[in-house]
Amino acid sequence: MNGVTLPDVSLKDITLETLPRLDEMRKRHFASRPEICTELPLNITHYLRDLDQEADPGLRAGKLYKYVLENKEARIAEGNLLAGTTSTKDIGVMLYPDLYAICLWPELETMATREQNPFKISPEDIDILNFKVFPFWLDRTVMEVTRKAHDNPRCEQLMERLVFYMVGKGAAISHTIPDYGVVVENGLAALMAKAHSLGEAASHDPEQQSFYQGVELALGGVINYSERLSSEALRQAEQANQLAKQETDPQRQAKLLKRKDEFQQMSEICQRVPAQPPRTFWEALNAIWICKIALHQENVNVALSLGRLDQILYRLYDQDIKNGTLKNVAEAVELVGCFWLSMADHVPMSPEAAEEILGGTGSNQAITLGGVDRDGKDAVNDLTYVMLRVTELLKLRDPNVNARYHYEVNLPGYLERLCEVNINTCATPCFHNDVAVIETLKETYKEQGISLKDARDYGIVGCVEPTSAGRTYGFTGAIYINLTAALEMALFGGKHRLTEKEQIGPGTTPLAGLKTWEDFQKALETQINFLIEQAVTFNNYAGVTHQKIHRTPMLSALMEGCLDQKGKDVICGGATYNSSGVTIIGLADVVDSVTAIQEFVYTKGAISANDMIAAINADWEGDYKRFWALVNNSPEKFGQDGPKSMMAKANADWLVKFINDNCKGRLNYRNGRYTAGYWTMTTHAGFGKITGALPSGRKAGESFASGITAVSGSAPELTPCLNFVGGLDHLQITNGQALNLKFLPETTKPSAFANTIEAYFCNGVGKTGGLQVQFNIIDRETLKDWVKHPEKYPHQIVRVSGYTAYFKDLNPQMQQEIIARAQYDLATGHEVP
Amino acid sequence: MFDPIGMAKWLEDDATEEFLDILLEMMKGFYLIRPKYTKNFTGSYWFKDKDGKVSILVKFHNGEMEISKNPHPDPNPYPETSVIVDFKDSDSLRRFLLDVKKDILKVILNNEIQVTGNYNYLYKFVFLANHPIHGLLNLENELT
Repeated sequence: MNGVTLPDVSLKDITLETLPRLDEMRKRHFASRPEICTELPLNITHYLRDLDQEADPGLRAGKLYKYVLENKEARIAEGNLLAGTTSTKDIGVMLYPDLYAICLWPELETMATREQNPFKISPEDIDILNFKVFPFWLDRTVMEVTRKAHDNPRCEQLMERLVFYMVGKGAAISHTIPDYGVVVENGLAALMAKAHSLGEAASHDPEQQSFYQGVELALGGVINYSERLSSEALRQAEQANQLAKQETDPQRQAKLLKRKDEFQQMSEICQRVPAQPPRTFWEALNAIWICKIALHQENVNVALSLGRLDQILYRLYDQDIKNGTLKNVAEAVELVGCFWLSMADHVPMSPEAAEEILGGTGSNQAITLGGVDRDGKDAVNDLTYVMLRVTELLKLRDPNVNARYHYEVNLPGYLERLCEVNINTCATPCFHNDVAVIETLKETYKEQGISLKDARDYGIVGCVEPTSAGRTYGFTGAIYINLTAALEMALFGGKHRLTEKEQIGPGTTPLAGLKTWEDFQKALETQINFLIEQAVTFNNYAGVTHQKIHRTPMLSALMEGCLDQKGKDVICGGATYNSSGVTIIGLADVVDSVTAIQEFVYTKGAISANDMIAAINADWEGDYKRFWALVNNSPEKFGQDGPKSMMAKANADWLVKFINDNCKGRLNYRNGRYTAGYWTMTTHAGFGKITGALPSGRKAGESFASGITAVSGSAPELTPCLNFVGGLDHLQITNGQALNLKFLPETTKPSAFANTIEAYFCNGVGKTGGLQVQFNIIDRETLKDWVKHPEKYPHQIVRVSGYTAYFKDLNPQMQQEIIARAQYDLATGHEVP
Repeated sequence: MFDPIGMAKWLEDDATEEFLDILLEMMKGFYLIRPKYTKNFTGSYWFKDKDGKVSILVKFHNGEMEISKNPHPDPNPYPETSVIVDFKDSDSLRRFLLDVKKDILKVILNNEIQVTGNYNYLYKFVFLANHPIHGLLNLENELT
């Protein structure tokens, strides 16, 4: 028995026509262009340059964010029922001067007219950044402090070559789920009181005491901000009242009076929350929203995710429905819709060059629905369906909706409804296998003593990464490794074709000199180990820099473990569970490449090692076309299941295990371990564009396969493709995966769709299948039409490799990659050309 | 007759061996009359090509921009120099600095440019290099 009482879980009678506020807000959102906001960088710079006298990093951070929040403009977005905005703009581009905002300096006068993802910026803001902000940070950004501290380390230089790996620390401390449950159940005043008393008790430990004092200060800033929001709402109520008195048209007057009442309610709400625990569903949503705004001031919102809001908010939703505070479910849909649209009120900053590799990404704020609760019972409730309906109506890229499904506990009707929403939006939610994920989390965090209850209480971070929600600082997007770079270095004795004669990695014997397949495996392992080692080293260096100059008191206040158990900032290891996430780009391409080498060079002898190298250097053209045909026609491919692809399967198993073992053998700067995942955002297109031909038969410049998906065209049958990925050892995939599939809409009916997912998750009786899968329900011709006529399709969302994006915002290479993805007829299970 | 708009266009579209010399002289002249962009800024940049034919040190200090050719007997002046830019040829450097065809990523990945040092100073330099050109081209648009 679960918490579902709705007679019709689709809520189809609730539409944008019946909710004109959401319709108008949505239209206004899409009509707005992102604009640079200088409020935060100016406040941070002014404080640290002119006011800061604090030596202790914990106290400095507390005082800084208190100042930032006390000086943050109190705004209420037009038409919204939730008070507060991330920036001073309708859609603000947030800049963090201590992190990577300074990358925009070259583009200050051109970003408004750049082709990809332009940002508006006023002449005044150009001057502010040019003269008042950026100069202060020339030697003070996290990257530069790290570089100086370690004398321009090789690991940082390699990262700056772009082709080997990326490390997220220069840009963010993020990729986590704060504990919003504590906001709803306790309120911030209680947290402040706790921090205060713990601080007094910690007089023997100055660092710990400073931590608690910093938390108290920062939370005081949040409460100050909400009180000023309350005043602002009251001011706007009075303004609406005055306008109503002057209005002669009865309809407009009624609208103004209604808005006046809403402002008055928002004023009362903000007077109470988030200081006190919310008493109603509306109060709870605004409390969480204000806390999220506060967190956005402290750190870049890169995958700062929401966790299990259908669980956290259910008590108050249910109470309000029963006692009539919410007159009907439509009011709840409207409030959640306001929350969804609020979350879309800002975008991450990205320099134009980054658009090539990461173009089109939003903030990737994941929300997690359904699954089982801490006791293993069905957690799906009416609020789950409310949130699904909002997702279906608004079709926004953020929040990134992730649905958990437990095939032994959740009801089939729930899975079918998820599939329906997926079909209607084309792209969301994505699906997570509770059985497999919970098992994997238990194994991954076993050393840290994770309980079964905590493992069950997982939420999705960012794209697809599962962590125990509200208690794990997993920084799941810490490192992105281009696995094909390791392959290149194994082929070329530690060199990469892009860096020519320069010795990058260990001087292993090039392919031509490797006598056996086992020798080649060792060479590849050596290069993979080298890249992981370098990336981890830099991540750890940068993490220590953050500990010194960029503490996070607000996030720490909302992370289980920091206050009660450890008395430490999140960045110092305060969370209950700690890890750092690596994600691997190019797995299928590398598996296919090494398999081709194993099959044709070492097993059959059909292609010599020298010919293989010559072939990829010639982009498989000329004399090498016959070799390309051999390789391309082989069934030994990632994604083809059965006796004809045993080598590919064995190689996939080998690499996935090797990479996970290598990662988990390393400690991060917070005493946690590294985890390994396979989701790629848009990097598979970006890295693919700059990579030459590979032994798999891939030609130069072609996108890699996304996530943990097979190369397009290599897995012509759906069931073997699902079996292949489902058959990988999920215990070795410890930082999530993105299996990206495309189905033809006309062949995709909810029940068949649901059965396919169920079969993939179960993988046969008593077994456990794949961790995750996500879909684009769209055909190639329609996508091509979207490219030809972007003006007709401005807001279409697609699943990229983890998150959803607006198709028109993706760079051309990424658009082509999605178009080229294998498309399956669900009725027959065949790939359709 | 000195044609600043013509020079701006040439810098954007073309590159010869003298590209860097001309760019730096243009910047020097421009920031002499618009000192707010360089006053209070201290930074140094060493541009050298891979053939060893070009070696230019640019120093900003106290609002002045000093350009020295073949300045360093010391082969390793970092970290005293804010940024060292090793470039393949003038065309690579032009594409890297002036971003006309959004080629920055390509020039780095193709190994046409290697940067050592504090990237933040590089971002400042790229702004300083482009600002006069944008200003002059905007002026042309206004005049025509």
